[in-house]
Amino acid sequence: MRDLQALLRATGGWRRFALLILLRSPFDALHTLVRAVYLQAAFNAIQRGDARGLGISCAVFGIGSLLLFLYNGTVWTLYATHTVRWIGTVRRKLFAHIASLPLAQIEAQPSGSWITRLNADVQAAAALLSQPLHLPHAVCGMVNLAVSSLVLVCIRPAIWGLVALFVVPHLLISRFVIARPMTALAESAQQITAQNTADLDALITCADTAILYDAQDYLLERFRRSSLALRRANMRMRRRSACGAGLYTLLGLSGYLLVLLLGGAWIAAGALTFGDLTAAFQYRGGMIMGAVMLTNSLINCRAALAGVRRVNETMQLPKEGL
Amino acid sequence: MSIIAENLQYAYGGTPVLRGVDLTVPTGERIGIIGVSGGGKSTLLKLLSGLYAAQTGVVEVHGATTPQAIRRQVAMVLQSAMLFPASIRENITCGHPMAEAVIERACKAAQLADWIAALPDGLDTFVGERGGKVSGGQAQRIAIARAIAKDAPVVLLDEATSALDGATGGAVLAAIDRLTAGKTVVSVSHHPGALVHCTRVYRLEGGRLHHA
Repeated sequence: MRDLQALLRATGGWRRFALLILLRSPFDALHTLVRAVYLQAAFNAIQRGDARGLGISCAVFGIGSLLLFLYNGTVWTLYATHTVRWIGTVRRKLFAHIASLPLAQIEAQPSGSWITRLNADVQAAAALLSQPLHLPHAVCGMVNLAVSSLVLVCIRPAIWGLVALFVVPHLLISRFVIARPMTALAESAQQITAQNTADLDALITCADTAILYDAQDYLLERFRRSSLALRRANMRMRRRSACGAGLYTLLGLSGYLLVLLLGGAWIAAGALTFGDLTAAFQYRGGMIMGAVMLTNSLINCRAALAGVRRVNETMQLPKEGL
Repeated sequence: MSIIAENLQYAYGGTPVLRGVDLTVPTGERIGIIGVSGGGKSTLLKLLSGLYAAQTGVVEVHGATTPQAIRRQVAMVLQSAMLFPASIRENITCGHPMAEAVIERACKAAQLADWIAALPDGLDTFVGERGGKVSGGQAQRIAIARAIAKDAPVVLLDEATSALDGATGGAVLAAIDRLTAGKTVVSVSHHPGALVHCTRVYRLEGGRLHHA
């Protein structure tokens, strides 16, 4: 995150980002709360045969959901506008910085490296703040996880314990096995992207030499090799992400079945109403969704941080005459 | 005759650059072409090297008449050497199988041997495509070594020494002497001093060749 701070300091606009992310962060948690309260009230009203109570629940839920989505849409629109401006600023500043570097420095790197810095690196850095399941969703997921967890532990500690039994290993495995190596994998992929772009660039910039010396096949072979290396590097990242998805299915479904079995037994024993169990399932859903959103976002953030680091590195290269 | 060009015409879009160029160069002769920038010198060399196909007229180089066949007979050195983003070795061999002795000979003739011997990775040292990892003179000499290794009977020089000066220029000129020894040479430049070793010099003006 220090890398992101450094980039935001260089480009400006971090206060607005922080404010908009904070404003966006309670949406998922509030949505979970509204849904859980509505389902609990609705099913309890059905159980009591209270048609008026059911109608009021439905009306309040409808209005609450509408207001919530309006709020979220407004904040998200403001956020998206700010992000687009910010990406433009990053690209402009980076271009200006590269343009002011000494020629010797520019020539010391293949042209593909500079093109990658201006395109792929900026895109990766921008993804951290603009793409789904990156930093804003990490914050939303964290708040959802914390609020759902807090409510569930207060109303049904036993169910919270069961859910936590599956969520905590998921979080730990995702954090240490999947997310941690992601930055290094992404950095390696960015380096290979630079080489691949240089190989592609050579097909154009060295076209006369390649034609004259019958070297087109050689250049194509280089491009094929670096494309293959790039595909392998991307596959390594995708495999890690797929492990996370598999883990979610395994632990999520196991926890769901266990809570369903025990919840059914508690309802049969008269210790729980169907409405209470439905509400508990909503909070469980909030915890799981929050945890999954948080872990997936952290995995993606790790990959995007490689781009942020490379943009920072470029911005820190000494300009000509300094 | 090593090179025969008859009634060569070439235009970019609707703008004619060459308007009926006739040229014959006997085997082993060294000729020079002088002219202003943008006058069509490089276009003429691209036609003679088989990089461009003639729009009108005929080009024959060492008996070859199709662009593909012409390219096999020609080695060319440009003013600004474009290197592949690869090692020195690959820049010389262009990915073709080549005996180590041939590469070493080419490096020696191009005045590169001492420099390469001092490099930790030797011939396998990576160079950037614009010669970013090496100086302009070294990049030019790698391009000359590439041309020497090709061992083509015709050598085309496009402002090959224009951007050089001092000791670097001397080394490149010595390398070019080794490259062109015993070959048919067409050298173009906007600088008369670069063509002093030519037996005949032409001026390319208004899209036509005139004796200078």
